[in-house]
Amino acid sequence: MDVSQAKQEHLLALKVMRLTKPTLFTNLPVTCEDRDLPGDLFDQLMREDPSTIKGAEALMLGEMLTLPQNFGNIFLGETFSSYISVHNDSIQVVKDILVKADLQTSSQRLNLSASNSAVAELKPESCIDDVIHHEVKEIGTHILVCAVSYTTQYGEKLYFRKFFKFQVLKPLDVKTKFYNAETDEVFLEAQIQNITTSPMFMEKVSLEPSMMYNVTELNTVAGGDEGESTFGKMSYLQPMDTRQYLYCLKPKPEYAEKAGVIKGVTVIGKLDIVWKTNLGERGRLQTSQLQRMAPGYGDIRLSLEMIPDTVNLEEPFDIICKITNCSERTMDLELEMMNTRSIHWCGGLQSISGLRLTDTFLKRTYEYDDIAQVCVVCPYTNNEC
Amino acid sequence: MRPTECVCDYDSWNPVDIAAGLPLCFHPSVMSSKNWRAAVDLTGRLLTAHGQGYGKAGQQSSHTTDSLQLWFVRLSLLTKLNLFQNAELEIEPFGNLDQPDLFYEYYPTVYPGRRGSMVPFSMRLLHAELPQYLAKPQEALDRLHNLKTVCLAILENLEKGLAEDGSMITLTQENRQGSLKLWRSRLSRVMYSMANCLLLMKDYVLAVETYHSIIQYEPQQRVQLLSGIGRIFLQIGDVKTAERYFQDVEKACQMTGSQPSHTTCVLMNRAFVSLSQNNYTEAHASFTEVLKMDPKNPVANNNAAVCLLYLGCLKESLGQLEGLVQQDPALYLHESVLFNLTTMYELESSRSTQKKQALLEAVACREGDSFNTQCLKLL
Repeated sequence: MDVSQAKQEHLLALKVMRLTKPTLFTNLPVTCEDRDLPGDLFDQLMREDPSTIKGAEALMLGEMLTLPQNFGNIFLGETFSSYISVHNDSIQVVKDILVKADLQTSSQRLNLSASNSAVAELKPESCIDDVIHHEVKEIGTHILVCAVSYTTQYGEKLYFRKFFKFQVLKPLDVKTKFYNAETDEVFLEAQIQNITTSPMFMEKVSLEPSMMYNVTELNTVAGGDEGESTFGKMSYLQPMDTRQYLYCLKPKPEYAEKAGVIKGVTVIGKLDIVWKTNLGERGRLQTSQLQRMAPGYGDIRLSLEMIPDTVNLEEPFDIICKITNCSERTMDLELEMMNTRSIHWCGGLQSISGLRLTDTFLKRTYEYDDIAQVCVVCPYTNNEC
Repeated sequence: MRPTECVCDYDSWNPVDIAAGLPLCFHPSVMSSKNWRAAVDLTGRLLTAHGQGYGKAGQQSSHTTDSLQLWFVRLSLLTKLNLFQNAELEIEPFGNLDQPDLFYEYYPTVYPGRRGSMVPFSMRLLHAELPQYLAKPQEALDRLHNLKTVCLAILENLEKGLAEDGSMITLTQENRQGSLKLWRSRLSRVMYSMANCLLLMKDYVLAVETYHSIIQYEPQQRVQLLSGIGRIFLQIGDVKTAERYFQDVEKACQMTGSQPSHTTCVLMNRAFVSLSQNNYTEAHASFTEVLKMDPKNPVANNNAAVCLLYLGCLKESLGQLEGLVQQDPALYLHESVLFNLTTMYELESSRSTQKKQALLEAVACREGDSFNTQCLKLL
């Protein structure tokens, strides 16, 4: 990762180390019983080992923290943290040291340094330390550019730069599907796949609706104080695993009638995803605005406002329909309701049919059959008949 | 080859007290100076003297309880040296450890009247665990599961008043209690192996369940097990669930009365949560609290130094770790601490190689031939 410049001998040395979270040291327990040849020796060795858990030496996952071994992978939405150290390798006092750290991407150059003022002097064997953090917002090549300028004790002004290149990868694959209900509700299914190499804990996956909609998330099961996730104990996503999240969107009353809702492309909202990995390493992504193409309703739309799920046999029930004029002109409509011969006397799901709307001007009739289903039950025996 | 003494009529898998019958010069102290490679060589020579060992694969073997203990020691040390392939090669001729020539009945003149397996339980455990270190964790899990089933069956027999193998031999109260204690500890040891293996396979849900189920057999390890489970959740990134487990730890500590080890545990857990919330200052404070009570605690010392690095204090962190290694090399010359030291040397200056060399020299004169020099990153 380290690509340095021309080979002038400098008094100062710059070193960089990416600070991903540390890892917990794991032991490999080798034990025996007192009756075996080594006797208590193996157990004694494990008790004396500083990294074992005292009283439970066979427990593999210890408490000793180990620094990151290598640069590792970095994903869009994560925070790039790095230690930058400038060390005076020489025997003279160095003056006016200015350390700058920039991050260069294909589209922009960002300054990352905490302080922009020079350090007055740096004695031999001393160092200037800085830890920089940056939430990565682009995929692809990133270059950390560290520039050091300083003055020697003889007044000579020197300068050098070091470049550290790394790739930012894509962590998640998000696919969305829309389902239209018979009412004005729209259901969004978001399919999220972990395309990294470590397990991910999905801390939050929420849909921020656009102005026109209210959203209900359908990913928790009611019960307990917080409600349990529909994914149960599997709170994390293994590499290459996929999960589906479901949301219900209902247009706000003031927008329900607007032409945009009924026809064409509407902006539904965006997904906000927060995840965590090893020791709380955090990542966050938002999708762009999700769009939905409304289904074509033609000139007239019949939708349901209210209908019971279950009705009793031979009892009348009410449904409320809404008729919307989706065309550009005013309409004069007549409503006619025709009885169908509901021949299935056995209950179950029955279809509501037989609505006719006639445009009196154009003499055009619109037929609405199977606009909804109700479940018919026999009230006497409490069973479906 | 001297016959060992026949001590009693215990049944399967209850190895005899071998100290009485140890014919050859292998004293455990050979291993205490951590010259494990030398110890491995010694086992090789002794086994050859036994008529087994190098170059003898395929020939008819004549096992004794002593020779099997030598094999066990040899294989254990190979495992400790991370020479897993060697261990696998050498254990392979033993099959699944139930071949006829591994039973007392096969040697009626040597062990007259004795019945059952001569293979030490610890060797069976090692045999079961080995595949996971060779990228075959499912095989390890299958073998461990078989071991677990046997332990449960034997415990059931004992609890019903029968002998271990289910026969109607009556055991004295003392023997029964002894046997129950033995097999319960074997069962929990097998379960630890299973949980560790599942963790290695990254099957976190099952690993957590298995660690949890050990608590009923080892209630005195409740605090350590619950804390370990909390750490697993921190590794996944589920900080909230980890916190719930750490709260359970605090409750468990309160119930058993305050012990310094429990206070330490609670503080360490708190530190890990702070770490997971990016609060290195708080984490450092918690580790320092531990050091107030236990200044020589190597984990707290190492971890406090690690926090200092994340807070931008490289020199201070290095100073702390170096100081510890110099004061108490016996305690601190550990792979993990040394790895952290060499990582920080690399960050500090271009002259890191010199410092690493100095470290290696310090290690070499203390640690015997078993030390894993890879952690010094000299390559």
